[in-house]
Amino acid sequence: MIGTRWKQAACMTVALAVLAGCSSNTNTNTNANTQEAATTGNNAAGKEANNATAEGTTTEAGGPSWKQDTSPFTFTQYFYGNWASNYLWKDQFAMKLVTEKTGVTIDRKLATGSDDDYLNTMIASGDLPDTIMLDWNNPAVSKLIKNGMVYSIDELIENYAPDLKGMLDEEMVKYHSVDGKLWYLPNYFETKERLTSGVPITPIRPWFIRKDIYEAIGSPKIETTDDLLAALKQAKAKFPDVSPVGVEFFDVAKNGFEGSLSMDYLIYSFAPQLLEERIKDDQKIVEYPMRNKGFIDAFRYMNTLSREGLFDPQLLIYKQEQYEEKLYGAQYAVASQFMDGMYTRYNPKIESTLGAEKKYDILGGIKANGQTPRYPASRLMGWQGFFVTKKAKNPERIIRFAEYAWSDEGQLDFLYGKEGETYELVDGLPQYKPEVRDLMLKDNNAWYAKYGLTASTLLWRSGKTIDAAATRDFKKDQPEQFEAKKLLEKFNYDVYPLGMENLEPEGSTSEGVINVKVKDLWNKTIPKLVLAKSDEEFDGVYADFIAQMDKVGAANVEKVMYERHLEDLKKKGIQ
Amino acid sequence: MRSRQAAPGRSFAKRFWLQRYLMLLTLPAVAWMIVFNYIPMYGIVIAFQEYTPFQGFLHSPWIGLANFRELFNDPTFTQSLSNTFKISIAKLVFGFPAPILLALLLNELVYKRFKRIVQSLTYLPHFVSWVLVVGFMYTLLDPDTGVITRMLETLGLIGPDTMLMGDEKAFLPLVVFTEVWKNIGWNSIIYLAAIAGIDPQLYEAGVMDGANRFQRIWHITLPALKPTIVILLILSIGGLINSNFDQMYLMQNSMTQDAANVLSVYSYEMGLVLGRFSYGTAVGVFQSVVAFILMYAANYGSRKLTKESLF
Repeated sequence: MIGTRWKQAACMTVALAVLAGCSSNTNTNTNANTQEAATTGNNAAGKEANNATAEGTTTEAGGPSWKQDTSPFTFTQYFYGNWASNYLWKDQFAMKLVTEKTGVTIDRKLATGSDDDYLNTMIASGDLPDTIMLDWNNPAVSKLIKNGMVYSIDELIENYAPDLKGMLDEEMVKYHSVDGKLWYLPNYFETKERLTSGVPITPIRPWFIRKDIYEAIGSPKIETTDDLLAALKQAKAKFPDVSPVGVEFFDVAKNGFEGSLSMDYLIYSFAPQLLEERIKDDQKIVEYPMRNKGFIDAFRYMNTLSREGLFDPQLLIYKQEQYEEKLYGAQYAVASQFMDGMYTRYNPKIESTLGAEKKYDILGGIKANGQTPRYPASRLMGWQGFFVTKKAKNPERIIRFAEYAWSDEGQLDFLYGKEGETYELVDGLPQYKPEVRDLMLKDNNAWYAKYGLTASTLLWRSGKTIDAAATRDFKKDQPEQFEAKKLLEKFNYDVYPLGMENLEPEGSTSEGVINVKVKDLWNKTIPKLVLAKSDEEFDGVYADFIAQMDKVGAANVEKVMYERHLEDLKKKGIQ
Repeated sequence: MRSRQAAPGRSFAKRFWLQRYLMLLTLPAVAWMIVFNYIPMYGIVIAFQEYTPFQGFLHSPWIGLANFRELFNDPTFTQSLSNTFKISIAKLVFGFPAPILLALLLNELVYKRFKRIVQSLTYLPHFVSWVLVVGFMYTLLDPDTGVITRMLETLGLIGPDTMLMGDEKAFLPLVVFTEVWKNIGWNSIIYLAAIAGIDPQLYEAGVMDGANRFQRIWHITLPALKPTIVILLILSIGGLINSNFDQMYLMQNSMTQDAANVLSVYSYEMGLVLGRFSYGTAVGVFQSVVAFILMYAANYGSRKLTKESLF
């Protein structure tokens, strides 16, 4: 359910906010430790790691394994995410720093066109690069592992970089092991504390209202779905040229069952207990959300908006770019957008082209049928895995490089660069120098092009100590967004113990095929529901959909989702 | 294109020897065909296998016709098959005669400069990518601001607030119209070239005999174009089962997906998106077999009826 886009968004937020961890989970660094790591360089990391692995085994005593060979070495890497042109290695500051220290250069490649096409073609032809950065829950991951196309990270560590073992978080190793082995190093694995510390998490795509319109209709309280409906009606009456509601593009295959990512905001108002309700232990199934009344009520609400003439049906067939174009023009009274996008891209652009009064303000969580919304917040269970393929010409150098990247020293280099040049220590925590920070906030692309910070090794491992620094910077750099995030944070709950991650069956299994058909059916049902002319029509369309979904075999998928749910619980050590 | 010019009565070996230098010249092309077209064709065996990349197509387990059985039992496949034919036949009916007409009209123009301008303008759209064309369509057909929608509304052809891009019924006409618009000029080039090759004496003789313009077109130009028309028709009939993937893929959205589901989109979604390589290949194999049968049938029919044929 938590799609790549969301992760992307999260990742960018995080990169912008400099919530980039340079502390290790296992070593439970204090600020002082970080400082030590920074000032005494690799020694701190090496020392601690050595302590952790009592055996000390094959590495020569006295230093991290990557120091044994720093001759020039290049390995290739495919990065899953064709948007990531900022991550390409082009002699930026951070990349040069890495090469200087380790001798390693990464020849990073992106897909031209669709990533899944590119990846599947690569796998089918067996023409793999040395390493792959790929979302750990992508269906292709099990293909890579089962077909023996990637090295087991455990083996590589044991043979070439034993110190790395002690640096890995135990909980992470447990969660990410497949058949008892670790096959990839996941970046962005966050510990439990993340939910309560650091920059507040916004797990949904919030809705915003245009400032001038809100004032013109008398700044009414918008606390329930009825309030929202009334406000939209007023907005339409006063501003007939403005489209009352804007939501992001609908595509079930890309965005999941909510159809449009903007629907989450309504869904978790109408169905605050959605995830719990989907688990039916007595029948041993995890239901499709489309069977849930609250979930469907969210679409019923959209239908109401549509019948009142408050929803532009074009949004049902728009592509993302068309919506973005209208949003840049502030052509919606109420619009949805991911938090960071609104505050760092749309609002600044709107302010500079149309005027500050047309900027968007956050709407709080809204109640539906008297229920308080609940947003399923998840700390990140890891974003992408770092895979070493069997085609790698020198897996030894690669795993040793990973040890460097994972070390405190590597993290500091990756996120902050060089002390004195790109960052300085403030209260024991690294902070960008003013010119670096200014460029980052003013022209993000130029910042990436010049410094390449947060783009070199891509092995983020965030942790709790640095959250303080991140929050500090975020508050200072983006006070408005911080307030908005705080406003919605109170609706969050921890979704981790529910075991609802990564439920959908793999694409190549027979249940996977059924799942695709169900998604296809649901995808064409959404517009019919939203555009239904009467309640009877709505109910008819919905009943048809459920019948068709049952006919293609939805029940089989629901059983598999239950099995995967149990598996998820087991991996997390809950049951 | 018809290879009946060789002198009859001589044996193949003898003819071959006589043409040895020409044969030598074709050798690189033949080698190229074998390496890039025939050898890879062996890959279609994966349609009969449970293909896994690691085992490769030499070692993957054989599953016989299981993929094809699943194919014919999948209602989405049947839908895509009927959509493919519906769209292709409509394109053939409207799209095939259009460039012939354009070529005839252009040929009758006396003012050469105007002819050249019209010709260039009509074939330019061929070079515009479908991505852009579909982008234009969304803008031009926007229910609020679209120029074409406004025009049709004023003419009373469609009701207010009609979302043409999201209308299943409008899908087929839009597909055919854009296809014709895009390729009419380009496809007329070959006819214009054929017309240019007609001996002017025929027209002069026609004038002498008192034939008017329509009669000259009917009795001189069209018969001279017949071989070209027939060959292109055979080729297009062979292509009936292939629909334009770019166009379909870009024009489909949640409201038109039932109408836009054609074979190429289906095989793309099954094969590449889901990573079911064997199944995707099975769709492809089916498509090729049908295309071959269609082309062969068209060729046969044409040979019987008009004595013109491709092979």
